[in-house]
This record gives sequence, C-alpha cells and structure tokens, in this order.
Amino acid sequence: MSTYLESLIVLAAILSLLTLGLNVRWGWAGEFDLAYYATVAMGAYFGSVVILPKYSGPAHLGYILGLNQPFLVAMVAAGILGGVASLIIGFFALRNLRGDYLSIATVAFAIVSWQVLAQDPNLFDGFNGVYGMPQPFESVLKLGPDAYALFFFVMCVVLFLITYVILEMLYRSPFGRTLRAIREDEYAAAAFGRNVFVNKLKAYVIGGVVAGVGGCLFAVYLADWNPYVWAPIETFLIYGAIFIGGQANQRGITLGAIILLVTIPEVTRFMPNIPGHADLFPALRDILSAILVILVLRFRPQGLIPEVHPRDPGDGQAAVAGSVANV
Amino acid sequence: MINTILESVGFGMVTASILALATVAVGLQFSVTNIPNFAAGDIMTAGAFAAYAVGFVINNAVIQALAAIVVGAIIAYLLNKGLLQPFKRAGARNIMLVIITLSASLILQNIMLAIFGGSEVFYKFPNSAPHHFGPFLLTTNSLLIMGTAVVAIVGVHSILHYTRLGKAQRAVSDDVDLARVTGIDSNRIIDLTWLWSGGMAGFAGFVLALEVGAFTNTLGFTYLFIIFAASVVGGIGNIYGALLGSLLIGLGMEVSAIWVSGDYKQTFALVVLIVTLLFRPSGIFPSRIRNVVQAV
Repeated sequence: MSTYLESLIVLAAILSLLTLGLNVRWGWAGEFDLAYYATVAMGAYFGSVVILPKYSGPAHLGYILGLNQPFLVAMVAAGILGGVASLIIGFFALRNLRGDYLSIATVAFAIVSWQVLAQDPNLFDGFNGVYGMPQPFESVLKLGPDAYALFFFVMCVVLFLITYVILEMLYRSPFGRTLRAIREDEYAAAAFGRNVFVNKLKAYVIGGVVAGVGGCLFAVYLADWNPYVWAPIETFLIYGAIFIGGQANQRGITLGAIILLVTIPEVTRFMPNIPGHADLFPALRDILSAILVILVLRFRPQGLIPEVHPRDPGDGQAAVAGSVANV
Repeated sequence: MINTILESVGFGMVTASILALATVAVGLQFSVTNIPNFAAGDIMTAGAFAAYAVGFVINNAVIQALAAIVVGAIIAYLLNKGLLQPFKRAGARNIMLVIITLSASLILQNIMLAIFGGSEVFYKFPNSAPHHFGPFLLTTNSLLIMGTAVVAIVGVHSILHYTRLGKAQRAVSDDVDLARVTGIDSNRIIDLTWLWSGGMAGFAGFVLALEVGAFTNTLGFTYLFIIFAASVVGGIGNIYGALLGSLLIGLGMEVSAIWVSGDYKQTFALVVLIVTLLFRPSGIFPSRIRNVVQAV
C-alpha cells in the first residue's frame, strides 16, 4: 500500500509540476495557449534521446542524437529546448494573435507537432516512440528497487518544490505584478510603460522551460514515450486542473491537479471492467472531468482556492496613478 | 503526371464540397453569434453516428441524412441554450465561451465513445463503383455529395439574401445592439442560427463519414481544424470567402498528397491555417465583422 501511495504522490508531483508551468501562461499572463502539451512532449522526446544510447535497430526506423548522457544533463537540455521552442512559437503567436485566434493557432500547432512526431520514422521512431530510459542516478547509486523507489519519490517531490518556490518568487516579483496587470488590462499596462509583448513572451518561455523539464521527468518516470501516451487534447485537462484549483494560485493548482489528473483517473481505473465496453470508463472519466470544469467555471469561477490579491507595497503609488488616470 | 494531378483535382472537388458544407455551417454560426465553436466538429460526428444508428432500423440514405440533420440541430441548440447562454448572461468573456465549447467537445466525443466504442464503424451502403468523367475518377456517391453540397450552399445564399430571416441574420451579424434597436428579436435569430448551422453540420458529418468510409468518435474533432483553415483562409465570418477557402484547402490537400505522403494531408491544412493566421489573419476576403487584433 505504501508503495502505491508513493507512486501516486510521484505522479501527483510530476503532473502538478506540469500544471504549474501552464499556469504561468494562462493564470499569470492570461493567454489561452493550447500548444502546451506539445512542448511537454518535445521535452519528453528530447530528454529521452539525450539519455538513450545511440540507436541500433532496423535502418528504416530510429531516433536522432542518442547521446548517452546522465539524467541531469537531459533535464537541463529538455528545459532549454522547451524554452527555445516556446521562444520561437511565442514570438510569432503572441506578436500577431490574441484571444481565441491564439488558441486556434496553438491547437493547430499542437496537432501538427503530434502528426510530425508520430509519423516521422526517423525523428523519434514514429509510433514506436522512445523507450527503455534507465532510472535516473541508479547506475551510480545502486540502491535496489525498494530503496530506489523511495529515492525517486524524494527526487520528484524536491523537483516539484523547487519549481513551486521559484515560480512563487517570480509571481511576487515586479515581473509577476506586471504580468497580472497585463492580464487584467493590457492597454492600461501599456499606457504605464510596460512592454506587453515582451512580458507575455517571457511568461510563455518560462512556461516552456517548466514544460520541457517536466516532460523529461515524466518520460523517465514512464520509461516510455510514444504518440499513444500524449495527445494534444491533454492540454485541456491540464487547464481543467487550473480552473478547478484556482487560476494563478499555486496551492489551488496543485490541489486541482491532484483532484483532476490523479484522483479521478485512479478512481475510475478501479471500476469493474464491463466486457465489450473497454472504452466506457475512460470515456466516463473525461465526461466527468469536463462537467466538473463547466460547473466550477459557472458557479465558482475563481476556483477552489482563489488567487489572493496581496497588498503590494506600491499600492499607494497605484492609487496616485489611478487618480491621475481619472482626471 | 498530368493525369495524376487531374485525378487529384477530382478528389479535391469532392473534399472541397464536403468542406464547404461544414465551413459554411460553422461560418454562419460564427458570424451571427461571434463564438468560435470548438464543438462544431463533434456535432458533425454526432450527425454521422445518428445516421449510423438509424441505419440499423432503416437502411435508407435520405432518412439517415434527416436523422443526422435533426440530431445535429438539437445538439447545437442545446449547446447554445443550456451552456453558452447562461455563461453569456453571467458576463463571461469570449475566451471563456471558447473553453466551454472545448469542454462540450470533450463531453460529446466521450459520450459517443461510451455508446459506440472506440473501433471504426461504417455505413451499410453498397460500394459505388468509380466512373470516368473526362480526366476525373469519381464514384456515384461522390457525385451525389457534390450535387447536394451545391444545392445546400445555393440554399444558404438564397435564405441569407432573399428572406426576412436572412436579412435579420445579417443584421445581427453586423451589430447585435443595432439589430435589437430596430426591433429584431436577436435571441430568436441566434437560436434559429444555431439550429440551422447545427443541422447543416450534422448533415456534413454524415456526408464526410460516407466519403471517408470508416469512422470513429474523433471524426469531426480532427476535421474541425480543416474547417478552421478553410474559414480563416477565406476570411473569417464571410460565407463566400468560406466557399473559396474550402475550394483552396480541399484542392490543396488532395493535390499536395501527390508530393507529400497522404498522411500529411491534414498537416497541410493546419500549416496553411497557422501561416494565414500569423501573416494574413483577415484572409483573402476580409470581413467587417471584427478585427482579429481586438478579438479578446
């Protein structure tokens, strides 16, 4: 039982970490970006091929790189890739598009990425995907399965906490305040001299770095990453976690991820299997998730744990600026 | 080589007619209500499955098509009345409504997964043999599909331009408040628009399923982005642009398949969608409805 609980917490830590990254884009900057899970997948694939040794299978298949590097290197590489990819996507998307058009363009991008990553046999081995990533640090530590599980558990929780603390600091920093101002009213923020595009792009890239790191961790945890384990639509479930927990509030978001991404799948997983209806419970799970999201948005749009609006030290100044604006 | 291209143009015409049906349906709803509907593809799938289910009782294409239209219309009406209007009344921003249509899409997709399972289904119509028409190679089904699409679109054009409903729809599309001031019951017009576009989407779903042969619960959701591509290329909210956009995307998808693997047909449409949104967001026929940059 304790190992089961351990594995649940590992899953919760990884999925919450991924959700925190999307929250930077949506909760802080207010951009409804649907390419997030594609960035996670890029991090997962890229991190995996940095870890895996050179490809040695049939010639018509294969994956690129195969650098045989330790996990830490792969995680950093995946984070950089996530950031760079987001910089490029965000540069074009955020400069040209707003609101629903941004979401249409990003979801199109996510589907294109899926199609290319899934169908190109020589990039990441097509539908076979990448698999057999070794357990991080085990070759050095040699702990054996039980002790290793505990180690991995601690590692995931620590990575989650580090991400949480860094993002919380950013959220409270002047940069975080600027983003919230842009989210509330970008014309007002621009009028006060804030560069809306650059700040949104920064948020987009930060989200991308978290996605890359989280994706690499997720792939290593699963030891297997292929087109069947990720779909563009999963971005929406991560949004669901954010809506339910409380947009822009990291405690809320962690709670939302635990409810929507861990508890609901786990509960429906243990439902009895009805012969001939293998798809019934996965289907019910997604229906339940979507209904929950709609209900929360309708009756408690701020989420279970709403964002707290800290009294900024600069409140006095804001009041002065407000009165000036009113004149 | 030229024969291959011409043959692809023939297939492209069929693809384009189906796409035009769907794009006009989605574009009509969008230009009147101003809500991008991510569940439109799943309304198509529902139409396809309705026709499939009716097929167990009566194997008659006309009755099955009617079933697709009715189910599509009902779902679209309920989506607006039951989900979108309450949010709109509560003052939700447009992006919230997009999120609601995405949730509705997820719900619809999974209801169909729960009912019909995840494996592919197909209609029990006899296979129609391909005929040669000049350089084109088309089946009887394809010809019927193209004919119906033309009739449907001429119908839409006539309603929009020669009836009071169409006039009111165009007025609501231009400016809801102004339309209301002049005594148009805009809520009724919006309800009717959802019914109409839903019915058309349901029918388009039936026709699409007929053309692709075997389909699953994700038929429409993946197709939705081809629809978006066609409507964006033609100019969002412009019915005639939608027609031209469908023709360009439909032909482009089939002809591009000569050089790139057929697996990337849809990718082609999506790349066109992204590039158009980024570099010419107003499309070929810019519409007056709203500025893309102020779309929040």
